[in-house]
Amino acid sequence: MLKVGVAGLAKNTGKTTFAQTLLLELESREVRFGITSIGFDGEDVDTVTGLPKPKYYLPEGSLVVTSRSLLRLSTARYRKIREYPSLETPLGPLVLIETASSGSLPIAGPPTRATLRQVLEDLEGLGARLAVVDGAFNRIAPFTVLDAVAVTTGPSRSEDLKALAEEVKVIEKVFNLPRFEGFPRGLDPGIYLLDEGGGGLVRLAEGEFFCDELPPSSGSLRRGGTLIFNSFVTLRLATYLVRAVKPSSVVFRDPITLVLSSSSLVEVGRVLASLEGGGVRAHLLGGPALLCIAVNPCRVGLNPETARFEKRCYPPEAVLKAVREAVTKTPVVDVVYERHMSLYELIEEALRGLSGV
Amino acid sequence: MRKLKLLLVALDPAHDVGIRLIGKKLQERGHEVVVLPRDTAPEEVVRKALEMRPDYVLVSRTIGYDFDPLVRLIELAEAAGLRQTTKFVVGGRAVRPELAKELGYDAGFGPSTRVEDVVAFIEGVEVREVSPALKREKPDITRGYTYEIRDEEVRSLLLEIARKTLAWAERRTSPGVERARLVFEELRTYGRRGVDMKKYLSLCDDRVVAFYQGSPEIKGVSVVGEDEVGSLSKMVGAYDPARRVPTVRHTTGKPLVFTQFGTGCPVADVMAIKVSEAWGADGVIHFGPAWEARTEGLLSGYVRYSGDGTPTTFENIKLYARFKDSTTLLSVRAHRGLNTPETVVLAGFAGAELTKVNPVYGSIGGGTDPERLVVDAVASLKYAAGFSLPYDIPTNEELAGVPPHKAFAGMLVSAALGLAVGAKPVLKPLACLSPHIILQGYMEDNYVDYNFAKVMALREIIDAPIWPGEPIGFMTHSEDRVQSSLTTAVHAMIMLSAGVDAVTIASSDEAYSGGPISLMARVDTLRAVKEALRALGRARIVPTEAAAKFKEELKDGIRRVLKEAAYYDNLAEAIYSEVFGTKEEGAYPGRAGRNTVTNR
Repeated sequence: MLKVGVAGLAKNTGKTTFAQTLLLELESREVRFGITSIGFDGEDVDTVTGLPKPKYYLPEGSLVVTSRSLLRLSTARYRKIREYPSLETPLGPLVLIETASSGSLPIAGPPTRATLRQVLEDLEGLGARLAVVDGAFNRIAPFTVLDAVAVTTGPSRSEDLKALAEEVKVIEKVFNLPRFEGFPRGLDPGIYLLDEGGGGLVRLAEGEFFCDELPPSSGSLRRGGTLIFNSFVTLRLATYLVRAVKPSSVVFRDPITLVLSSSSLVEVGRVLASLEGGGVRAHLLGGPALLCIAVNPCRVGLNPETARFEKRCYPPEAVLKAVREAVTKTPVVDVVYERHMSLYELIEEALRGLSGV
Repeated sequence: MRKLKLLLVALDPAHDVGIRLIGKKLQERGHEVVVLPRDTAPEEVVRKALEMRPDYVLVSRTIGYDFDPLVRLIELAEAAGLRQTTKFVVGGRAVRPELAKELGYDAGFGPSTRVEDVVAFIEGVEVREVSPALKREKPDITRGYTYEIRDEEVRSLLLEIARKTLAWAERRTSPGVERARLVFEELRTYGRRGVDMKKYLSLCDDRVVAFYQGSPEIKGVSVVGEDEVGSLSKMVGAYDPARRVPTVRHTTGKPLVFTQFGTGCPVADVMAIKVSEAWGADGVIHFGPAWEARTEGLLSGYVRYSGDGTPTTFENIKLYARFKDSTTLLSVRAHRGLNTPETVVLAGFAGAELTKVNPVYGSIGGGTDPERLVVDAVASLKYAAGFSLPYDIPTNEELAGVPPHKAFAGMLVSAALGLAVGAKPVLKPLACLSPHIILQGYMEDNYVDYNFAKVMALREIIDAPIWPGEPIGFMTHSEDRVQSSLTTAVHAMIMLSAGVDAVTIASSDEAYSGGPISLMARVDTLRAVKEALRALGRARIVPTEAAAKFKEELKDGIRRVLKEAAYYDNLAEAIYSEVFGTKEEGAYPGRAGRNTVTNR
């Protein structure tokens, strides 16, 4: 089963519209699928802005993981397959259902990586060929267990199209870093140094690093080799260690942890560029691939004059052009205005060659 | 109880009082609590959490719609692998369960959350009530009252009037009494409405007969579909049955707070009841349409009316009783029309907790012939006694211009009649700005003294429950919803201070529309009264010395009226003779049901 996530760089960038478009295509191709969300989607109005939200219209036979309290809002008939009494959310425990008729249903699924993994296994066991996971806000951390993510963006993230393009460029760069194969799986989280001259693998420090303080053992740093961050390390600390160790290569755990290592995507891009400029090759240990960039040309923002959230749409060509020019090999789609595009073919194309998928 | 490790932080530059209060409470309960300085960076919170490995991280954020720090924290927590061992809880003004879910938190607490709610959640137990008075149980408004008539003179006058009136009524009957007898016997025997219709309809008006024959002649009346009634189960069933039903009351057991309903449609009525309950009403009062009081016979089935008031049918009342919370009191109004005894019978069998009977007000303010209503009222009170249904005695004739002491005298006679047959009366003075009060200038300075005086006078006369309505603050409301809610809340404070047992409150659109229209307006006043009772707690408003003077005047006036009434052979005769209010005062003996009383 292929596991695809829809991650937004901000609210209102078209995550649910993208997922809904994909589901309709899966239905027409008779692909059995499962759908869930790490947030809360398909509600009538947005929990923050109060504006209408796109709903999920699910065809008959959809496998859905949502919170129990939302089932009463379903206009689709359904069959309950499994309850998860221990997977409690603010909207009640999770349930897995299969729709017995088409209809709409709000979706609020597993909020964490571990719970997401658990329900995905069940979807796979029920014969789903594709699982779609909708995101929430700009949350992305639970998506490390997926095979690929579509990243959505648009003026809701930034009205400055240049800045938008710059971020998209970083996203493409981060997700397409080459994979590093020489690190054994299953090692404890920490910072490692691989001495390619025969010194073997040394653990420099154990654990996760959420502050910029140096780990206690950093006094005995060795020079050269491959510096491997098999844990969360702040971008500043990572940069410092790269300067101190002067490795030939640096390996990050996965693209998502790298994105989260700084509150600024632009900063991540700057560091990657500086590594490249200094002859240091950057790699990833693993993580999902980038499926495509999806653009929503409309922005929902607070109008200071009316003190209300309002929707304003930009010329879609301008937004698309800015984003398309920023990337080199990633497909860019506009699911609002370019409905003729086949997302399914996009998935097939983008994932061709991905091992194990 | 397991001692927990808890990490608390306000991801907020200014507001951290709530989180500190919660932290203090959790610490008092023996948990290991660390409260980080406000506005600590999410990275720093995660670092501390990795070091401490808490069971819960509690986060608050109060201002605006910028949720970035909350999202960043939850993302970093996931990246750090904390989510499998630590629960993340968010609280704040804008937080709702849906938002908490979208943000990725395990739980969310929004506005109006009490410290106890959060502590109970963390400890995995039911919420403990802060005061025994807050615990919602089905209240008995008459509990603890002896009904002793303390004023010697008033007692002997009331006993005399009641004795003569009961003896007079004993020899008389009416179509209303006969219908009630028929319905009572049938319901008692079969437990359902299996009435001999031929006999029943022979006692009804033509338009009621037409209804039963399938050709409704009463404009605006229609039958509610089974599917509409069935949809209630789905709507109300979606409610979590374990949900705690709140109460408007704060730390005192009194006053119980009632709202009125009678939207015309029984299905909409149930929703009105559920909304009132959800915002803390202790009881609800059903109102029927005005034409019902002037019509011989009641309809049956799920029946709606397009105007004000919902038809009083056995099925409609049973629907209310079925869907209301078991702790909510349901009162069915019977007091003023040609169906008074039958309404009490239906209310008793359908499971209502209270009814409403006052032959004096029903005659001079409700349009029913005094002789007819007194005969019917006596029968009604006997049924009320049999069902152990306390009955309240409204005095809304005061709103027409009748002086309060006359309305009170009539109320006391109605109470004495009930007591004589074993029923339990509830006195209902108005807390209002009535025409008489305006003319006399009693409230030129304040609303406190005269309203206090009414309660004080009644308390000195009789040991009985007092429930001002319907509603409190009558004629002080305007079309302005804020003003309307505030005056209701202020009157609730005054009445709490006066020590009453219950109050009925208007909705904030009542003055504008002449009756409760929107659910939001109903919530307005429930919220306002809740705040008022919260503000007052066990403190009390104290009247000026004028209250004692008004009280004495009221008592003297009541004695004078009762003395005069005692001259007559029975209560009906006294009403005809304008003892309880003159035409100049707006008291017009009604005509509905005239000449329908017969000797047994």
